[in-house]
Amino acid sequence: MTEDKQIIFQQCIEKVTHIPTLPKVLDRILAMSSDPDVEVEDIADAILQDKVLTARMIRLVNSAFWGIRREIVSIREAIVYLGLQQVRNIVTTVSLFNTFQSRNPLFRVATIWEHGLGCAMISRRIAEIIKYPEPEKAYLGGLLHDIGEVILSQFCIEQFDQVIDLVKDQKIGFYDAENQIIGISHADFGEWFKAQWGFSDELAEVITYHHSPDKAQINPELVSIVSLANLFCNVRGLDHHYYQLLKVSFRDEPAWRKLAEKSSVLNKMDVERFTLDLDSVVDEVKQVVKEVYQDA
Amino acid sequence: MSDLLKLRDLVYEETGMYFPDEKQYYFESRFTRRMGELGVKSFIDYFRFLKNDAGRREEMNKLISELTINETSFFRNMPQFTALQNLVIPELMKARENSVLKRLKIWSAGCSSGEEVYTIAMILDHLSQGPLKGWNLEITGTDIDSRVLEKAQKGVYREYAVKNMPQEYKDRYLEKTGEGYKINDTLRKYARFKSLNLNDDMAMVFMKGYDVIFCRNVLIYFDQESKKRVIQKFFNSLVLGGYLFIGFSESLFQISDRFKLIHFPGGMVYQKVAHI
Repeated sequence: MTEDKQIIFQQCIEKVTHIPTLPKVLDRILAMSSDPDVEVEDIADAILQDKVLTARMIRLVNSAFWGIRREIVSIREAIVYLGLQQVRNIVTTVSLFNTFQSRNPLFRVATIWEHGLGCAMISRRIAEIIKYPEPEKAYLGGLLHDIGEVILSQFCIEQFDQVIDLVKDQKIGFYDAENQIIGISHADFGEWFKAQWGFSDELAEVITYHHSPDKAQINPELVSIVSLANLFCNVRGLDHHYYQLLKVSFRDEPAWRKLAEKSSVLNKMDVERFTLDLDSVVDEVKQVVKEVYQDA
Repeated sequence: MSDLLKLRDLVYEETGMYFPDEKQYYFESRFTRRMGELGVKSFIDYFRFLKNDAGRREEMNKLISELTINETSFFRNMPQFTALQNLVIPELMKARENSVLKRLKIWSAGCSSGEEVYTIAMILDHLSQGPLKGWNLEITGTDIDSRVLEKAQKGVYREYAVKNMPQEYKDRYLEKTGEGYKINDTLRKYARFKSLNLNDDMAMVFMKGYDVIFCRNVLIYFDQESKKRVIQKFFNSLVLGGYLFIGFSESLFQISDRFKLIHFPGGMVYQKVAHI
């Protein structure tokens, strides 16, 4: 970050009156799931401490995303069926949904999570298609890539309202509008979240470079996956619907080229069908977020 | 994979028409209706019929009709027209910035009773008050069926057809008559209609220099080989940088790789970016 940006960034951060901490349950689950000897029962117990979390998790697990053909009724069952990695991601999803309250009536936090969850699902699909070894990491990257937007939209409200006006008026994306109006963008929060919440270097990099994937150094593949998933969200209505001038040729995207170097499958992919299939993800995402927020 | 989805995929392979999982209620009911007519009991039997039976071609056509029974209307699939106005036309204009030839030619292939032609005419007329002022604008509607062309020529529509039309456009371009809504002369001056068989190679040669082609939900009636041929003709008919819109759920996957696929919010369009 340049010096100018650093100053603006500080001014923004000062407006964050209380910095939300990572939810306790999530903190515990994350610690436990990196322990190779952890027992299913211990994880299940930790989740069950939080009744709201448990109920929401069961609901999310039974949505069409996870492709389980039978109804899951307990957390234990969910762990057995989905494995620890996926359950960890579901805990992350559900507990993050609740971390930030909406403080800006023009821009609800739910919309950010709608986009985040959509991007998570699509990132995972792309990861599976190109046989990226850690599809669950791709999910997490997709979920969190725009988390800086929460800070900008909910704590720098006055400036952000101008951003919204510009986006609507010029039909441009938030990234460009934020840089024009505020001088920094939601992508500048990668390092901050790393310090604040202990995000990994890879995850911080996803946040920082999802709009410029060719600058990624640590895990360019992961950044590219999320970057493409983000664009798919934009063209399939999983964003704020103002971005009408967006035009994407996926094969020409730097992220696409990067991934195609590693996986020849990508260029043989039926992109049209992939795109049309996403409409079911879109419907599902909206439904899930709506349900989760209903009892918030 | 379930037999139902196998059937769905067969339809996609043969027609390029794709129905995502969440439209299952839709395609399932249409398959079931055809199966009832044929006296076929299960999806797998119907699948075998469509794959192997001597009458498979005829049946596929009937199934397609069943799947596409559509009361066409103005502004059908709005995102495509939004993209035409916001992305495609501005780009074509920019490409012609330094040219003296201020002309846009659009072709609606398989135009049926003309709703698509007049929808495009509305957009062009709207833009002709602003950025397209002074441009020479024309839309050609073609169809193999001369009866529907008469209807297009006449330009009288029922309530249903105009349901998606913005009120402002209704006021400006339609007259209410005893027969229904009639297209006024402001729009008519942009539109020409003519009879054309997309399979007639000789006639297709004369369709040249188009900036945009719309051919939506038409190619589904063609087999794979004719589809490839027609798409190649469209490619030849387009100017460099020209655009091809096909049906919302259609795809050129394994039909042509000459075009560049471009995504916009709510849809896709193909662009000719090289001469070959």
